[in-house]
Amino acid sequence: MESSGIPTITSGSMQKDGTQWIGEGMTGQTVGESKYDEAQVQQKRDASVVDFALPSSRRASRKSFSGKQDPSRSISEGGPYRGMGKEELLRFSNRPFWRNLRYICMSIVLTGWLALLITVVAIVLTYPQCREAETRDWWQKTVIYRVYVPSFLDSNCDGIGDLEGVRRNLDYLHDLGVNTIALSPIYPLGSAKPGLNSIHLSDTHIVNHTDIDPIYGDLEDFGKLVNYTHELGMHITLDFIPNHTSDEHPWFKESKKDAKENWYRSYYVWVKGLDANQLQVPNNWKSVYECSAWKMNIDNAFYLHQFMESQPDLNLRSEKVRDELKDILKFWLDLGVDGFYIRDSNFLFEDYDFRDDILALDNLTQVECPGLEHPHEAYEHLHTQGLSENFDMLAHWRAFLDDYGEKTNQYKILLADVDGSYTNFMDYYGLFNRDGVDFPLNKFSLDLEKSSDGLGVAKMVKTYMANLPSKRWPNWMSGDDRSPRLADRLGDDLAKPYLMMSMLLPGTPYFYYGDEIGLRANTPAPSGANGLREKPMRGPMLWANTSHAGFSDRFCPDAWMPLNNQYTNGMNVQFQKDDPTSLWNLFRNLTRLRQGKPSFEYGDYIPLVHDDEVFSFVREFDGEKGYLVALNFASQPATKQLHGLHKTVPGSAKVEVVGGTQVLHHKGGSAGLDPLKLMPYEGIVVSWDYEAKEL
Amino acid sequence: MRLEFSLRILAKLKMPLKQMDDSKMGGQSERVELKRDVGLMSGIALIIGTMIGSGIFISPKGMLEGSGSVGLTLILWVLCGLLVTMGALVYAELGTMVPESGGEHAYLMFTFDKVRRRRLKAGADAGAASDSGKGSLVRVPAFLYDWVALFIIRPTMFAIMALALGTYAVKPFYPDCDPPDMAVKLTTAVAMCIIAFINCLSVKAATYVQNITTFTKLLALVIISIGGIVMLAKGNTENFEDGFQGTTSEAGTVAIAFYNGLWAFDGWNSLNFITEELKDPTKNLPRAIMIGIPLTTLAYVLANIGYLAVMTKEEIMISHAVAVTWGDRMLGVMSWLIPCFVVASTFGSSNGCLFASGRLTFSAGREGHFPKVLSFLRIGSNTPVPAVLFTLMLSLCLIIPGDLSTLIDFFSFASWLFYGLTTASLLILRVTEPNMHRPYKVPLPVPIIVLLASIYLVIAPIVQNPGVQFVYAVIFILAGLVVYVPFIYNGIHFKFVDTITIIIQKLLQLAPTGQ
Repeated sequence: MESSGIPTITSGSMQKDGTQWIGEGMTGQTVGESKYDEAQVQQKRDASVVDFALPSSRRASRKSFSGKQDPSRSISEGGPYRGMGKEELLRFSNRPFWRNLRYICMSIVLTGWLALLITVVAIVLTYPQCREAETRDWWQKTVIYRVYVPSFLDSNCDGIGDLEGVRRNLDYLHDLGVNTIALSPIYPLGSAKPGLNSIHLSDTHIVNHTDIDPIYGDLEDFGKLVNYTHELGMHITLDFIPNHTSDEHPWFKESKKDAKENWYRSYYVWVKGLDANQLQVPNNWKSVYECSAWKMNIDNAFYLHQFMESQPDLNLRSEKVRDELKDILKFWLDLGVDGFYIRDSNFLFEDYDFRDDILALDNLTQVECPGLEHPHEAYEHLHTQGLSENFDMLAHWRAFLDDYGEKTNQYKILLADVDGSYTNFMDYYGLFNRDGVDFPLNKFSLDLEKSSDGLGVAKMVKTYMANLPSKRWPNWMSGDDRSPRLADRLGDDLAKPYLMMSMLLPGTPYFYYGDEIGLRANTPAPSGANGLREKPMRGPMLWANTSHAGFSDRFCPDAWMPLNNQYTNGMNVQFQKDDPTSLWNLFRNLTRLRQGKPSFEYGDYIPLVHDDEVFSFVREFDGEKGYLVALNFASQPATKQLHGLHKTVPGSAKVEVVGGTQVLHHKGGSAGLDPLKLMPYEGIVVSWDYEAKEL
Repeated sequence: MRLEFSLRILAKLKMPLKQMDDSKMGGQSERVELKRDVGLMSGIALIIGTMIGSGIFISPKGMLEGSGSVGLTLILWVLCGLLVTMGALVYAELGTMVPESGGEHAYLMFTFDKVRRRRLKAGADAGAASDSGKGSLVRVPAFLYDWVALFIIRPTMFAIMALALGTYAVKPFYPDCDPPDMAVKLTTAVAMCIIAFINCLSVKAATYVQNITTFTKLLALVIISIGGIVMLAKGNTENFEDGFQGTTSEAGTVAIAFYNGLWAFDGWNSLNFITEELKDPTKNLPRAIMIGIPLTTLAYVLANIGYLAVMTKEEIMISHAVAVTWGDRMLGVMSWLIPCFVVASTFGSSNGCLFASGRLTFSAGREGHFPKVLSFLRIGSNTPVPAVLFTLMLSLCLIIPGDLSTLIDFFSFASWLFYGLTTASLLILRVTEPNMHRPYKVPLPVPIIVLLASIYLVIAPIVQNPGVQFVYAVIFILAGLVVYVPFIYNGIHFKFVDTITIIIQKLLQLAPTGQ
């Protein structure tokens, strides 16, 4: 009907609009096309229930056609261009070019949307669902406390600490919040040096791996100790020394006898000498303490000793030795021991072909050794230390403990001491998907010293964590019976923030007896020769400001090592217990804080500020209280902006624990984190309640 | 009953467009008066339907966190309702005095454009009384409102509602922790696209969605309220004994709680957007407000009692989604219902938000404040495709970086700025037009209180938690002026805009309507 008129109007209005840029082929517009368009429009209108605009404007155009309204009215009125009229638009927009373009656009949008939808589904399906609280075993939740048995408490008045002394103090340790006691070696020792009590011998001079040295007690005492430990819900570990025995060990006594048909010959490493007379040492291997690692026997054969010559190395390649060692482990496991600390684990194996170690530093000279002018440190110990067979051995022992643990339904741990770099270190956790030890003790934390600032601490933590293989468990060591004491290394100032850090980082903290009171080395340092017992970090524990510092009773003989006389000066347990600001109370508050807290047990570790002053991090887990630990390792006050660095860190939070000589904050108070001010060497732990994010 | 109301109301939203076309149909120079067929009940239904969105499912936790106690929370909910009622009464006076659709836009135009006002009073209708605004700054407030509403308020509102939807949709897969941001945001984007698609497809479909979801959200609130009342009747009242224990003493956190509550009330001015369609607006507008908003407040308080009868304060605070936890507790095997209801409710709110955006864009386009193409409809379906796509694009951009609290800050800041400005315009009109007929006159203290509250609500968050988002908001509002001067004041017009308009028109089959 009206269709015949429409082209005229629209083309007219187009020309008046001056819309020359829309004109591609528009002059070729035919009546037929417009008829089609009209029909389509009509159809659409009929289909659309809520339609209103279209029919009216159709009518409007009819009106303009009849001349009552100027078709170009909208333009002549001025103002912004109002756009194309409906009818002309329909004609153009239905042209194949525009229609195809429209379909292309629509399919692009649709494809994009579908891609989005698929991504969403994929993300929801693949993204790890809410994390289950990871189960942590006892050894991961525990605080380990290394006891040097002869120096802990003397119960029988001989001046030497003993197992009964440890047992008597279990309640004390339990109250302190320690859950695992790692005993120093307690095995019977030989008496190689005439006139010396075994107390002065190195405690790896073992002559019997399955007994107790009488100076510490007997197996009955040990049984009582183990039982009481377990009664208190605590655990106990022993040192395991598989690398060597004393030369007075029955095995060695047999081994050094006649080489022929000798069952025990293969227990140790025996080699013939080099030259024609077989008198020259087999290679350039050096002992850690003495000259050559080889010592000649009466039959001119050399035996290997990586440490002292009175400590021949066991031959761990021998199946017999391996069986013996397993029997030893089983013996103690049967007595209830919860794990072992493998000593000298870096030295277990040596090169099968006895190849020379490589001389790395030839400017170091040592005079006392005939024929060998270079000391132990001058060599790169490629063939005597860190052999991959060591890890194989550890994996065997781990598997043995796993089997045993499965039977008794309790996990038994293996720790190891390590020398070497980070890479070497991390291999102890396991090589090639085999489990190694549960953790090698973190000797890198022993590198921190008084001059360490926040950066040094952060570097140690960062490097350690970065190198840690996934799913492996970290640990933070404060000291042991072979390294300088915490209080000596770090000083009283840094000890507190370090204590806070090691207790609250993910991982198991490992302390040495006396660390809780800041026990320091004996002065003057004992002149214990290599391999002898007396070392500055092994002084008796200081319990109270009484005679013998409470180490033994009043009328007993003096302790085997002199007491650190600072016990009269507040360096004793009794005094520090009563002082709320003491190191002892900080230690106890920290064990209380970390105990049973999901955020510390399996929560995330989020480093915050790490600079030359402050080391800070957050521990938190979904649905659990969050904690922020901020430690000032600098000698000047520090102000750090912590709020805003991590989404959960609030503007101010409740103070849980404060440590330091001068402190700004107090327990139970509130600390502003926007920013946080810390006194020199002040450390604080603050907490906030979990806030579920609803949107 | 309610279904029918909202269907009719939503159909109303396109009324002005229809009327304008009808005027041409008549071929007469004067325009046909808008048909007034929104009655009192429909008005109330519109207010309630618009206000109840995601807020009641989201805000309770924030309120409780801020206030610290059960008692104060309930008081704050009532106070929010009171402030909003007062604000709505201010709008009622304006709405009855200036019976134009478009809410703030209309009132700001009326207050500051004297020439237009004179013409209006002389009997011209809104469209005809308007000129281009060339050479004058009187339209700055209204223009800035359009500018902010189109670029900030609407997209932000849409984004927030859609994010609520996304969160609740993903939530069931992550019962005990925060769902990954990525999943939430992508789900939100997918949902936004679906809603936009529905709104582009057909007006009827959008209306239908709106009706169904209005029903589900009311059902959810009824279930929660009844559940709570049943628990209370069983004697489960310990959360209400000692109701003020733990009340915070920090004013700042209470203010944050108040903010959270106000979010749940947003939409109280929705009736003012369709004044022109309201039957007997001088009576029905104030009445609808005085009934609708207190009713909503009551529903909110009941829902909160429902939550608190079942969950302790602490449980609410550690819950990731209060309504979901409530459902787990009360509905047993049917607990999946609540997330579904919330998703449906947020879907409906987002849908309504996008739907209304088209209308707002139209009203801004009518005055020539924005490129006309934004007010065009798609031929055939008569859907505001450009307005929908425009809002969709902006909202998609907003959720990318978005942390929701920043968005809410942004939104509250901008919307309360203009609520305050509109309230101020009422006070200005009291002075400049003292003798004009005011069918409903609000007592003078009310606008003053609302004005002070809006000033506080704009300034307090900036003072308490100064964030860069406020700087952006201010810069953005000022940028409106930069646009105003060349394009409205000087009336500069670029040809290429027309080119783009035509291309978009052809591509999307868009045609102008009205005038």
